[in-house]
Amino acid sequence: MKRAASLVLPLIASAVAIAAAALPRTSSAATLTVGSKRFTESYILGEIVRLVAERAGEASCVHRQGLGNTGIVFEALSAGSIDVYPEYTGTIARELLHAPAAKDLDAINRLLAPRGLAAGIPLGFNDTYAIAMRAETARAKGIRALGDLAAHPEVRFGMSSEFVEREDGWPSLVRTYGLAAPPPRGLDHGLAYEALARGEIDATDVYSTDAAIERYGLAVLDDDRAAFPRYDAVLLYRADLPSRLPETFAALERISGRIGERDMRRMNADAEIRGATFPSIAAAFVDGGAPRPTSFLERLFAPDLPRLTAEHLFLVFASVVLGSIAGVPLGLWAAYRAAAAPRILAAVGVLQTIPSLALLAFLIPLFHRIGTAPALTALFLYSLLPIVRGAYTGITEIAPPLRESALALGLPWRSRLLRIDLPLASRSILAGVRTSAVISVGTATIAAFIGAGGYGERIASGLALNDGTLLLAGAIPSAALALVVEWGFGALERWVVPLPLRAPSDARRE
Amino acid sequence: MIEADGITKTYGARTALAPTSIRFAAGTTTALIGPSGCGKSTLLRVLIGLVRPDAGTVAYDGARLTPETAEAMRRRVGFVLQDGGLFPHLSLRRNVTLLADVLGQAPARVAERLDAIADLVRIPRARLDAAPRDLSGGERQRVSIARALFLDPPWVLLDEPLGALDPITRRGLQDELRQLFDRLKKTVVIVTHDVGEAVFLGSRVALMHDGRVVQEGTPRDLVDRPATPFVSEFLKAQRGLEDLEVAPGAGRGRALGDGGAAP
Repeated sequence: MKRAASLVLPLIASAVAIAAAALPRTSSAATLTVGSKRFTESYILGEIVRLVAERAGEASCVHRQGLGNTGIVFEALSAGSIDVYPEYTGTIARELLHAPAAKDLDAINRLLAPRGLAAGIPLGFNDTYAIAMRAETARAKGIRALGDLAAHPEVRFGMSSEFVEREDGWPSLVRTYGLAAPPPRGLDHGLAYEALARGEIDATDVYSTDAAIERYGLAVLDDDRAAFPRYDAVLLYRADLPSRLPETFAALERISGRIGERDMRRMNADAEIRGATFPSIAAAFVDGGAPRPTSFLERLFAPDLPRLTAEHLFLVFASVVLGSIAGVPLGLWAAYRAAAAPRILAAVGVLQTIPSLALLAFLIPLFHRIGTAPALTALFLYSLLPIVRGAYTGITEIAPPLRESALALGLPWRSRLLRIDLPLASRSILAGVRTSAVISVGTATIAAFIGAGGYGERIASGLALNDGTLLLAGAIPSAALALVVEWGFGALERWVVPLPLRAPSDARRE
Repeated sequence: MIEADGITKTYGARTALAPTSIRFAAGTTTALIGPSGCGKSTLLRVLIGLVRPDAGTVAYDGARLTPETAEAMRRRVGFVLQDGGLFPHLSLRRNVTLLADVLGQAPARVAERLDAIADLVRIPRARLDAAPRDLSGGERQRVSIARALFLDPPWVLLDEPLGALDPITRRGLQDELRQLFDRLKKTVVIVTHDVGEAVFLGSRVALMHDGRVVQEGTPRDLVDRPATPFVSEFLKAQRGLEDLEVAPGAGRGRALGDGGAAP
């Protein structure tokens, strides 16, 4: 037991140390934390902002990639977890401020100021709805702008369902340009591109910086009468940023207007079609030239690997340590109080059946935040079942003669627990913790979906960007870590479990 | 003296112990015998508080055994199980001295007592650091007996202590146990299903049937004055009894002669 006690303290100490190293640092004088949303363009812009800020040499810069959707990233900015992230004027006005009338930056900034936030540095492109046609069809019909469509009622539209429904989509287009076409059938966005390429439709809605425009060689029609709202890309930042990091901010101001729609489209295509990494695209933008193609190994061992590893280890470690602190006593309780056992075991069993995303969705409002706290709570809850069961089984499977012997000797309950029951159950308890840790390595990838980091960050990005290579670059280290954890517990078992109780193969080896 | 008074125990619909009363006089060795399921092991567990009776009391020299007093009283009662019940993760030494260590006895005193007890039950000292699984069944029972006797308890309860041993080992240990009991003058209750062993070890025999003590007395009493036909039937059903009747004091029959002569 002395050995077990000497084991727990270093465990906790190292968990705390890793936590300190891995937890997202809050804004300090020397740090700029950049955020981004979970889609290609946001990743690229976030990476450009990070690189430009870093080159200013004033602060160390971190890019917390793909934190989540608009609401989550804005929440992180408001809370000060990040200092700046790329956003669109239309999104700020409509979704964040609920003030669609705020058309320009001045109006937006008046509403942002009370929140300690500001928007500025227009990057130079407008990522809004646009209508695209096959370039040759457009050329043949002489269509260059949306205004030309009215004269061509034969143009077949195939639009995304969202575009058809949205007030600033199809209805606005028809109204502004006086089109006579009936409302088109809604299509899946991906299918619409295919249909366009095969000539089944002539025009579809796109986002003006879609990589697909380049991939399919489409022509984007000018919106000369402003049917669609403007979604100018800007930086949304904490209002104290210009005074806190003046040189960094000045450097960022210099990229204002430097990224046109064509540039953004090309960079999106670099990522989505040509498979370049975000850092290499950012470097190509800042230094000129084309992004260097990256091999799978380079992506696997990308510079963020140590950080992701530290974050992942912390999540697994902390959740399993917490799970053991709570789960072992729960298991013992169930084992010693037969009346409580069914309820305890059922409760931890039910926890296991809650889908992880549902649990996270439930925990985020509970914590009023995203990130490590709700992720750790979820992982902790999932870690309980194997640990509780391991402790319960370990105690209940102690042979009756040993139980009777311990009682008949007249050992006090504390001695019975510490000197007899726990050592006899140690193998089963450790097996529970081991199972829990290995499962936790896998489950922890889910944490990235709410900005808690870890290898899941690559998996989440890979899924969001439909990038199988990136997904693999996250899944492989995760699987490797599971093996390492499995192996580590094998070593731990040889250290903790009394020799005569070990698995025969282990005992023979000694 | 150990007194069990009006003990009843039922498990659901099954009656393990009908109201049962029995006394074990100080310094005697009593063998509890009876067919399987007669309640002899249950009675033994009631005596040490491992089984809580539905009704009735147990007292050691007049002191009642209750859930509150059980832990302290068990330290004064040695208990040996059929397979020894040795803790597999502890060395023989730690198994034997565990209670003394927990109670905080001086290490020097514990070491001294360990030497004495090892000699008493004939465990070579060099074997003391082995683990239970490295021992033969007979050796394990010696260690188990050493553990039960370590704090020199006035009372010793044994539940089929030799039940799982081969005949040769068993016979050797029967001899040793009898010498030990004779020498230590403890109050001993030993559960066995073997009449020969009961007669050999016990100065008194208590025969149980269907959760009751049918007859209690010297082996001779049971043979000569059976309380019910079942007593004769049970005794006759086992070998050794023919010897007992035919040739007391000779061959295997020494069991009767010696048993009858024991204090």
